[in-house]
Amino acid sequence: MIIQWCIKGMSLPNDSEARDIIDSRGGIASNWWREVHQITPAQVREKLSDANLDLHVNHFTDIDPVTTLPFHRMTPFISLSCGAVEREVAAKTNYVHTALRTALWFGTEFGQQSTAYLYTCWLIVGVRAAVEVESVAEEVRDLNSYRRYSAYQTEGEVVAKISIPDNHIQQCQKWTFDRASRKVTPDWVHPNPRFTPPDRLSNIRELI
Amino acid sequence: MADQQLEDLQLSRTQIETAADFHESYASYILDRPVADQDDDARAYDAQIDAASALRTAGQWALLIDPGRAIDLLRRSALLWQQLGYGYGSFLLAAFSPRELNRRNMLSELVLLARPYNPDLRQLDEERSLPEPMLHPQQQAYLLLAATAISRQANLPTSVLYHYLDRSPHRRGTAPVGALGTPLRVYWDIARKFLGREDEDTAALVARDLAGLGSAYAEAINSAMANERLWFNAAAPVEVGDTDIAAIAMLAARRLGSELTVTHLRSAAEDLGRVARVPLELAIQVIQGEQGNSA
Repeated sequence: MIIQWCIKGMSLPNDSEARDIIDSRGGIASNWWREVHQITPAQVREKLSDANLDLHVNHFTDIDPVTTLPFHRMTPFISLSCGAVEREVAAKTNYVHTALRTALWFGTEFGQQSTAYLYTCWLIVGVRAAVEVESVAEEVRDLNSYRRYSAYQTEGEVVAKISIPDNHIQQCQKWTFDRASRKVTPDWVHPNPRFTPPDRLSNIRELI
Repeated sequence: MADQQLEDLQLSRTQIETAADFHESYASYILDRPVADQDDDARAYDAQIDAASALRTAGQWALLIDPGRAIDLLRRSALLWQQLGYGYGSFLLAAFSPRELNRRNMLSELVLLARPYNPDLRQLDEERSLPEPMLHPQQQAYLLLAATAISRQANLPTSVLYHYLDRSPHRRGTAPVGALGTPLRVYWDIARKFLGREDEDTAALVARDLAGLGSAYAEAINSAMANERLWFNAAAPVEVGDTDIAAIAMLAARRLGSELTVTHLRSAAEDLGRVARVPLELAIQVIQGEQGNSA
């Protein structure tokens, strides 16, 4: 397993809703959970399928034949950015993508909003695909339909399943994009007092 | 860009402008962050690559709507890549802002690359070594394209270029280069043509190579369009304003003359589908914009 730091960029109506994700201890829930309010373990098993992961990654806004709604409204997955700044990749592609830039682009609704809320959190990512296993996130860069361009994949995407527990979220930071003055600026930081650092899962034993 | 072309790509001018503004703003934020915030040299290096990438993204979007702005953004990106020792920086600068090209470094790197294949060069620059990025064949291909295109204006020794072009095993290389993942040998072949005669045949051959890249571009774009959310929001992981095609065409114009290059690009584009034609038409606009500026 890999412990992966990620950023979730979100567009929310106001600061209070953004802080509430941490303060309410609710964490970040999938659209599906938020839409239906109550879910059962049996429904979770059904939702976590390869077919749904493909819809999430490649057909997010298409109509889901099962629900007859746009897939994104009922997705059990949560996309996050983790970026990649590797020198070898840069030398091969003249390009790197960072989690911050991607999360800001998605969090501002692709530049349409002037505010984005960025949640820094960690996830446990499986080293092999295991879409049915709720407790591990999936690395989905290679699932894109244009996979020959994976070296250029800008979303740097990892998907969490069902929800991201609030104690995985280190902080929320507000950012603003002022298009007129062409400025991106960090604003307040709201730390999570109940954050559990991922070091707790480290298998390195210290000397006593 | 003509509305017809934006229609072919199913993209809105507003979304493209927003994307260019956002990525430029992000690059400025990264570059303006105080150095004290950087933990060490590695982080400063990463920040420069991050900003160079963001400026490249902004530049490729601007290519679709404002060639003048695109050239400025790509020039700023290129200066960072050049400073970090990337052949890609030389490639973009040779195409879009040759006055800012560090020709001394370029020559030195070419000598170092050609040295293993030429006994006369083995005594030169013994103490020097290539910057780390230049060990990658992709960066060598970009440097060669830049050098061969401007070899005459810059008085670069063609014997050194021939030695490296004709003897390096990369001349048959298949490593993917550029946003389209083009085999290395295609870039090598174009560089070889830049060293050849300055005539109709050469211009036609280079235009044919670029038309081939245009076909690969159409395939990539059509695949990317399938993901409507990413495509319509300018978030698909493809380069919609292909910087390599625009820069190679610009280098061809510098080497073979603008008129000859544009004539053959137009003719090569005629046989292509609407989407495949887009990068060639953008390249023509960039060349003509440059012509207008220097007139």
